Amino acid sequence: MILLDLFLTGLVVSVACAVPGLWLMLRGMSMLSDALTHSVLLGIVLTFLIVSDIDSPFMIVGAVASGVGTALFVERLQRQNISADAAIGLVFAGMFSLAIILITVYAGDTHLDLDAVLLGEIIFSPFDRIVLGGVDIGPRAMIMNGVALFLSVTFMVVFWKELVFTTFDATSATLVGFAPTVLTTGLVILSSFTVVTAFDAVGAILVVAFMTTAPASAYLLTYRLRRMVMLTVLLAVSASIIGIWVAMLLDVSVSGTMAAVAGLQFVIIWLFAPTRGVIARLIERRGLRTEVLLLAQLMHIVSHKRTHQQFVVDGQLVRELQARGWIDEAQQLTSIGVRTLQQAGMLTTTAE
Amino acid sequence: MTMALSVRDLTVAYNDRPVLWDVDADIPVGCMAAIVGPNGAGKSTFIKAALELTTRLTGEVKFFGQSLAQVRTRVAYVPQRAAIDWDFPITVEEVALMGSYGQRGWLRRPQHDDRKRVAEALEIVGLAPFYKRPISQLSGGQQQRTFLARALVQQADLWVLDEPFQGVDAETERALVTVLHQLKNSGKTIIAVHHDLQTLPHYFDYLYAINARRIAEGYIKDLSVNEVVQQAFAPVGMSA
Amino acid sequence: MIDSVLLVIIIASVIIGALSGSLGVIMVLRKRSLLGDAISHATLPGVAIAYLFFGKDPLFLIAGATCAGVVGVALVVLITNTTRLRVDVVMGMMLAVFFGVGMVLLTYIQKLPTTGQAGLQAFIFGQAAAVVWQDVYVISALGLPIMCVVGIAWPIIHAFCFDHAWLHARGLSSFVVDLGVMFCVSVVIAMGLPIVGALLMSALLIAPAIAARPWSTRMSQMMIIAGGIGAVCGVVGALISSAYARIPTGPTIVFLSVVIALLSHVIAMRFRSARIRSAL
Ligand SMILES: Nc1ncnc2c1ncn2[C@@H]1O[C@H](COP(=O)(O)OP(=O)(O)O)[C@@H](O)[C@H]1O
Ligand SMILES: [Mg+2]
Repeated sequence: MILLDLFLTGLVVSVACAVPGLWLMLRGMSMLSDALTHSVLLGIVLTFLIVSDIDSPFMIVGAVASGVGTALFVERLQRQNISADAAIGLVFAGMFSLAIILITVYAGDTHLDLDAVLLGEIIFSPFDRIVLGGVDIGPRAMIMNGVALFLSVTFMVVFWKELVFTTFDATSATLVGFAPTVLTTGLVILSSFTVVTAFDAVGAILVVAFMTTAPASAYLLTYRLRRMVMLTVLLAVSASIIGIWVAMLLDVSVSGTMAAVAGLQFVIIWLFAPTRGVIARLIERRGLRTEVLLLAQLMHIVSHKRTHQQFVVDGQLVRELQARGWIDEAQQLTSIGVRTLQQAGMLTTTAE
Repeated sequence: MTMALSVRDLTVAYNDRPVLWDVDADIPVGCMAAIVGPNGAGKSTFIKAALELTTRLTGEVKFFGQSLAQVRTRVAYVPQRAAIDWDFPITVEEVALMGSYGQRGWLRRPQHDDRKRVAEALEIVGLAPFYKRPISQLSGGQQQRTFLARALVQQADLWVLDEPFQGVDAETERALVTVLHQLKNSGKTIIAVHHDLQTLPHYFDYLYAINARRIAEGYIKDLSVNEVVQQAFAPVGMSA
Repeated sequence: MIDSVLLVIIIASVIIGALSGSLGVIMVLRKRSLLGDAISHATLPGVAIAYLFFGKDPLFLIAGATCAGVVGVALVVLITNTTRLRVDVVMGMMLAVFFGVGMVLLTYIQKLPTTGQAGLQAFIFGQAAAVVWQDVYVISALGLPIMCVVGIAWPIIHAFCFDHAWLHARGLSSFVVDLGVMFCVSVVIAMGLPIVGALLMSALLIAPAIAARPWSTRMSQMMIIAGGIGAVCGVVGALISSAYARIPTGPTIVFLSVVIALLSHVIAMRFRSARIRSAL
């Protein structure tokens, strides 16, 4: 039962992060997901210092507020002639360092624990359960991230048309009356919410892994948006299940292993993806190279016949040419060879 | 005569640096207007500011005598090629369908007759066989025709195109011009940023020359095109 | 009264602040601000592996961290060049995945019977109190050559930031120069880890440079100002955290530098608008 809860929690966290992560990536806002995970911590700490209850709903309000604040602050700094990446780096470092200072200063008096907040450990999540009216309805992390996932998916389904339009062509969308900022704000709020709920289970840093890795892997696999969403969910699910299983086997950090497996999935897809993977393209390029070499050798043979000059014969290439029937046993150009050269534009007059 | 686009005293600045000063324009309904000027003259900025896509410092802009808010969906915009992420995971059909989104508004899904219009538009621009293809797998010309199809679906009265012939093949250029001429003949207004001065008098009947300010505008038959163009491409003086 | 423990911390902070402040200028000018963040997170598995093989020798820990950082950068470059992914996506992914691998290794190390509490957690959050003279020697021994390299290779570094044509004209591959520069940056980040920690080290790289930006007209000037700001933040941060027992050193240094960067831009704005007003 506890094991099942653990797997389910990991799965829900992983997918809940991946869905808004995909849209942030498509909108060119991945840097913001990095910033949010750090800066949201300040909202959590400040709210905690006021309400002193880690399970209070105000924690989420505080976190979301700081997330939106980060986005606004970054935008303001960019107008100050600070480039986007520098602005983001500056803002989240400031908020994050302040949060850590506050945590360590007040650590003794509270239940805020730096390791737990930043590194998280999903392994304990099945033991923190939500009990409503005496009925145990499940682990807190699973329920909360389930809510986040539900909100993200609902947002995506309801605003699908608007999301696609404003992401793909923001200017035209603005022109006909779809303000991209409305959807961007929605996404930032959703992402902040997701980050807060995922914190408990996987910690601040690894949230970034779940927000970027599955979407990036899916991006390499398809040019169709619906399929990309499906693949993102699928890869998030597999990374979490394999990750938890491996971590249990080796008895190491569960969230760390989930991130590592997600990374491994990405590397495999990057290298081996059909047609667009590194290896597929290397083979394609080699294939092209061989074709070019063959044609060059064929040209050599033709011009050699004309000029009677000596030239280097590459035995392997000649055998391949003969196998294709472009030249005959006596290394004379065949009619197929002539046509091939003409098609390649290397022979204009009909060779005798 | 009503003006498709009339602009008064438009000034635009990026970070304290003015790019357009007190620009006026009166582009009549039913013409095919070329916006001409050297690189960095502010052609794209002029279009974007008129369409309220960038903030303007001063100025008043009217479309068909009304404010943009009243005529939003009657204006179609085809962005500069560089402004689009051509790797975006989206198909030809989906892009063309966006033309119907403005009329549908928030939250309402495209309907059957929207899809019918998409099919017709793709037929017109010659992309019908490619309707399921991702835009990343199209040639530059086909990509441009996809955006033309989107504007057709929108059934706009005013078409604004930023360098529509940039990076397309000769065949696409002919197809684009044919479609645009048909639109013009059916009473629509076309405004396009254009670079090729050779083809200018053949494609367009109206000229708007800009270089930080309005240099000249009018029907091409009434203008001495060479003189205007020379003036537009001369370095801008800083004096008033 | 400055005791020996505090002196060690101050010296180490000053050196790290000055080094990262001046090298950070390259990152900011090349619009690589977030790459520093990726490097610093990516160092973690390197630290863990170095510990597994060589124990707690600071030199080997720094070497391991540097290697992992360079591998991280190389992967970021390689993936961005061979896919349609934008560089920010790749960096975010690399940062978090390397960090995850680091976490796995750290939890593995903690379970080893020989090590017990290895104190490697300090590399995540930084722990200035644990810095000893040996660390200072290592930092100085590595920092001095790096500054010398920057001084000697100055024209190359300057061209790397502004003028790639200059590099090509002299037959220098910008990729190789890039690798060299990123190696130096990785070394500095690795040295800062024990004090500032992997999570915040990158901020110490960029904040002083951003602060110096409005006040410098040349890159060399910007580097000196940024280095100075970094050093001052180091001293003040170390003093503040020694005065108040619970305030941690690393985050305080970083917070100070961010505040200075923001203030610097606010003041610069005031100056500019005042100048414009007086000109009118
Ligand atoms: N977003 C922007 N921020 C700052 N400057 C800009 C921006 N867009 C354009 N500019 C500047 O405004 C001027 C006019 O640009 P643009 O309208 O694109 O010219 P054109 O389309 O005629 O080539 C150029 O000098 C350009 O550098
Ligand atoms: Mg332009």
